[in-house]
Amino acid sequence: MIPRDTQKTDPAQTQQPVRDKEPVEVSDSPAEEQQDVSTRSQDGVTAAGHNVVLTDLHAYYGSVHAVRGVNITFPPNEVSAIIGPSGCGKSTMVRCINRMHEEIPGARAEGSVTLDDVDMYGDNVDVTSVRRLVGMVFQKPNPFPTMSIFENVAAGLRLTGTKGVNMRERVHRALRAVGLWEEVKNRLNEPGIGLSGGQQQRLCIARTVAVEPEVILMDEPCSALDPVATLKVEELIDELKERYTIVIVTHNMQQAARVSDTTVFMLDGELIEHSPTDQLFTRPKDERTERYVTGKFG
Amino acid sequence: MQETRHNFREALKRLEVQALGGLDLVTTALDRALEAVGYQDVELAGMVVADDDLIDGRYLEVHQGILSLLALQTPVATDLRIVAALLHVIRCVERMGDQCVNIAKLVPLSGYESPKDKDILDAIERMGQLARSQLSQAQEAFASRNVGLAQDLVRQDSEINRLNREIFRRAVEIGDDVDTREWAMFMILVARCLERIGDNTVDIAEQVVFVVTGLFREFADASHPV
Repeated sequence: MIPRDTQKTDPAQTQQPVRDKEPVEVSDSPAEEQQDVSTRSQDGVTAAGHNVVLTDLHAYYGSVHAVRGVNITFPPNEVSAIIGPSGCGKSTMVRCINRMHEEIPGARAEGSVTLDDVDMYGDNVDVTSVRRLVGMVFQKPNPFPTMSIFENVAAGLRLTGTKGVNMRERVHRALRAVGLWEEVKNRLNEPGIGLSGGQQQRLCIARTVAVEPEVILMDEPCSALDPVATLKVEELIDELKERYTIVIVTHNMQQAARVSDTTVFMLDGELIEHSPTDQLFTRPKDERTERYVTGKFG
Repeated sequence: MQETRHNFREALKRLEVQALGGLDLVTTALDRALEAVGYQDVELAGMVVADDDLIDGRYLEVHQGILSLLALQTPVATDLRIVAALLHVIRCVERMGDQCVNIAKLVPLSGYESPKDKDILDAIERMGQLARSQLSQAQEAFASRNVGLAQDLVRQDSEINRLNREIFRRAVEIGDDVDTREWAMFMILVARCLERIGDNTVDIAEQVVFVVTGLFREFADASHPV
């Protein structure tokens, strides 16, 4: 375990542009020089969320320039919503935070993403530990079909190689945190796919939470859910922000309005406006934001 | 880029036309109420009272329309500000209609052949003209989102306020005759109603600035006079 104090990366290093990524090697024993940044979350200092700072972030799919020089800070204990028309780069931007973007063949990112003082793209940073620090919830609930409810939640812990924790306790705590405990406590060994869509999505959030990340990214987490399940997940998001930094991509502007503290509007890969949510929806600063939220262009 | 939400936009426009049209109804009621005062026309005054149902009906229509729009269309940004402002506007329309009724109801009370004072009558007439012009200016400022025109209403309104105080002073000094004094007291009440109508037009003007800038600021209020 690396003590917190030694985590400071050389400032010169954080300024380095992110290099093109080769296919990621997920080895069981990370190379000696790779820093396991995720151990930070076990030092007990991490009950509160952390700053995620994107600096001059560019993302490409081959020759397509999907994100064009975004600078933004996602502050701790706040929900930041990203809105914008399809293809504006909002998912891509978010997927750069936990280095999912680079998994796509031909995709690359430039610029910097830091979690507090740690450069997520630093040469000595292990990508598995990045994913442990930055959890992600996807559009469609994706429980592992062959696994029980318990194993689904434990899977995150096992995959990230978290050791020395009480698995039972972590899983139970995560299920309580997402409000699923009462609904599933008597059938933890039944398959996860036997749950309803809304329950499955909360199960997936529990899987993310069990790892005790510092940041949770959500990419359209409710678009496959019915209204009641949606509201439950939204309530959960509100509770989770006490512990985490949350970034949510949503096509549903009313959802952004309901759950987020600040809202980001993106268009054509650029960040157009980042304002407190109530301000963005009552008096947006940028004419383009106004036109988008009022539906003056489709 | 293609504009969407065509039906919503049409509905919002209709609602605005309906609400601002309420100001025309008020103007008609005000003209009749003042004519009734000037000519002691009790019958005309009765019409003003009866026709207030039209204004109340308009209030209910617009109010319901706004609720529907909020529930069904969740307007945001400028659209939301317009909807919120229209709620104020239609409330002012309803209040101003009531003030016209208040004026009309004083007509039969003030007596058929009561003595009159020309200074007070002239001042009332002048106040009526000002209230009328403020009504149409508030309407125009809202429809054209004209902040300058809206702010100019404060200047006009100070003249109505001045005349209101002048009528009060004149009534205090009007002399010993009981009937004349009684009539003067009624005229103070009429002046007060006109002064309130002026205030309501200023409230509408404040909403114009809110719609355009997103910021609400009272132009003037009793506790912080300009």
